[in-house]
Amino acid sequence: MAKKEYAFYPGCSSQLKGSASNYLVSVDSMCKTLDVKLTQIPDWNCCGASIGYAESGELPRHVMNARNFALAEKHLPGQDVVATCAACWLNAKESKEKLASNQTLRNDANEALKEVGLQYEGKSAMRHMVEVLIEDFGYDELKKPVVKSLEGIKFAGYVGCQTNRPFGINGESFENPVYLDKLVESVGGEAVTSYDQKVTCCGGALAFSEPDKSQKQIKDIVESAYDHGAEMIVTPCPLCQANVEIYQGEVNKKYGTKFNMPVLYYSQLMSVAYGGSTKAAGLDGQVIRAKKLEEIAVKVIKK
Amino acid sequence: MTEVVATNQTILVVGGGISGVTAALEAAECGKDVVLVEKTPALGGRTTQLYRYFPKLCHPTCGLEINLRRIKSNPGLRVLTLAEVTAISGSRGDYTATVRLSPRYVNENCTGCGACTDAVETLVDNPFNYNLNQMKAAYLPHAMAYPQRYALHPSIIGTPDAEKAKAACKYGAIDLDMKEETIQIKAGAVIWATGWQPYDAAKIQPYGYDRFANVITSVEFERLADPHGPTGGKILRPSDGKEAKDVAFIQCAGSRDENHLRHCSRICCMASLKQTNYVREAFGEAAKSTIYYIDIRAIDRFEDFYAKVRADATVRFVKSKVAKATEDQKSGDIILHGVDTEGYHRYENRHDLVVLAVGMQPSVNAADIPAEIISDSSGFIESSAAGSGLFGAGCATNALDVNRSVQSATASALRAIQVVNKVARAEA
Repeated sequence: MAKKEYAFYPGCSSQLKGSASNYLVSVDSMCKTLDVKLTQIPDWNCCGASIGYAESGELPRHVMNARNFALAEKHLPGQDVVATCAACWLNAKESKEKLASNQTLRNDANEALKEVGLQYEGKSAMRHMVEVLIEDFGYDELKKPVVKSLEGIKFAGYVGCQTNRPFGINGESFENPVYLDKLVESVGGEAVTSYDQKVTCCGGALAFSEPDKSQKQIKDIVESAYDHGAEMIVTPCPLCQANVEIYQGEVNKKYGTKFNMPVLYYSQLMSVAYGGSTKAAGLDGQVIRAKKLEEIAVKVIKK
Repeated sequence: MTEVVATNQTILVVGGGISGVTAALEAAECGKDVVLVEKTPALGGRTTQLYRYFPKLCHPTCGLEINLRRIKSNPGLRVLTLAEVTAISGSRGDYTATVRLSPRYVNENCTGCGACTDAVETLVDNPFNYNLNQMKAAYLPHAMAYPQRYALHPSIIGTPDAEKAKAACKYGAIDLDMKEETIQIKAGAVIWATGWQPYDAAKIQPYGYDRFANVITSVEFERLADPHGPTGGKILRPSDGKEAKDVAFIQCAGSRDENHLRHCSRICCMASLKQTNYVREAFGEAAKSTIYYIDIRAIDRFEDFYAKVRADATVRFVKSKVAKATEDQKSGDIILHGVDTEGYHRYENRHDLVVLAVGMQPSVNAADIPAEIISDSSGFIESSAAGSGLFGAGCATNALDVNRSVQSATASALRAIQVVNKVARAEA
């Protein structure tokens, strides 16, 4: 298969020592197997998540994303912009939609970008990595490079909100999206399809400001995964991953539960299934270790 | 080849539900020549799938019987079933409709004995019961079907089952060589009465119709209550066959909603009020109905009916647009979440069964009608174009109850009669 190339927007959480740096590591490993070339957009800036909403106002928020698009169009013409972070994807996609439907906003944004010698044309599509996997490869194609099936591990596919609303992944139900389940199955794992908390809010930024409320959410998400017999949770979103994994200790203290469930990215599953090492799959970046996956990752395959 | 003699003094009625049947009869009883075409194998439409009418709670079969008697006694009215209009050309006083006739595989020798049903084994979804159960692939659409003639489901043609049906028929009524035909019908005026369909409840995702067995639609609930329905008239919920004594009704399910249908479907309030009677009838004082509503639109004389249901201690009203439904996976119960706006209380209410009072949408979008017509923003027929001889009737024109559909159909018949009278005068 021909090499696929994309303009890559990594976002802040994937940076060194960021909470999702291991996500990026596993994506790199996965993409190597799939022969995908991700080229970082040179000098990319913040997508405006959270803070952009709170203080900056409409125009600066969209200009930030417009700048990233303009850089991609200039340096990596013809390539779709791909984000691995659900929030980056959502914000950039929102900006793209607003800029497309509002001529005044587009003129204002370009006025601002003129200062740095850039122009936003809205040519590049904004895609999430799971869209690339599902639409440009397809589940059957993703099965082919599997060398270590994740057979015997049950995963609860926790989709969260940002890849789900308002845009969603094409063709998916908002209340019961199944793409994570299908990705799990494509690498041989068992998907807990009846998992009923797959689109429950993880609390988002309220994990800091309203810990009681967000931890109630996290409790529901993890508890239901246990109730359905899942051994691990898998998610496409760095914020979901961080919230659901990191606060299990706090939840245990508050509710007397004994949660200890690993929360992984889909890309880590794929990396391991494609023969990646513990390190390549970013399994060393877990707060709650995914021992069963590590065991598979260190297994030597006989050729 | 099917021969239908029709002229430009003929009135063509498209759709054999209560509106089409009414329009056809009104015109034929005025001495006009009428051809009534119906897409399915039997007349009656969705009205026949109701257990009872509001507000008098009488059975639709009663009115159907009267109408069938009128049809049988009127030589000026000809009925074509399994017939679909695919194109209409011409203009007022001179139309030609192209009609596709699907094969029934059963000819007029059929006596309705049912031997073919006994002979075949294949089961197919039963559309009369909104696919809640299955039926044999050689079938009579329902007990009062007109014409009282069996049909073979196309899926068994070419299989041994079809041969079994043929072998079982003593009257030579089964003709496996029937083919689809296309015929032309002349008409001076056309009445378009293609009716409505329930809004696709799976699209209202927070209510989980696509995921939870015990979330059903109001039209399905009619079938549960009906003795000819899949449960023999017992109100049993789909997941485990348990008696559903605690039933929630969610109003405006898909109606008055920017994400779904913008219009008020008008019948759903009365339908749910009526259906609380079914629950009470089945379980007496042990019945529990809860109606979640935005506002109750029981218009004019229906107010009395509403007041009676209000006074029923087994019925509770919660003024709230339900936010979402979840399922208790152990019991199959449905838990409704939302806020009661009278006092602003959050609730998490458990029910045995949830009935979505789904909205009405036209079964043929007016923009897709193969003739010139003015459509409204919901796809209903708003009016005829100036100088047209094509008129809408019943639910093709608006969300209407049976009573108002019949009024609308009578009006359309009068319009059509005026057109063909004018043609007759011109030719005299």
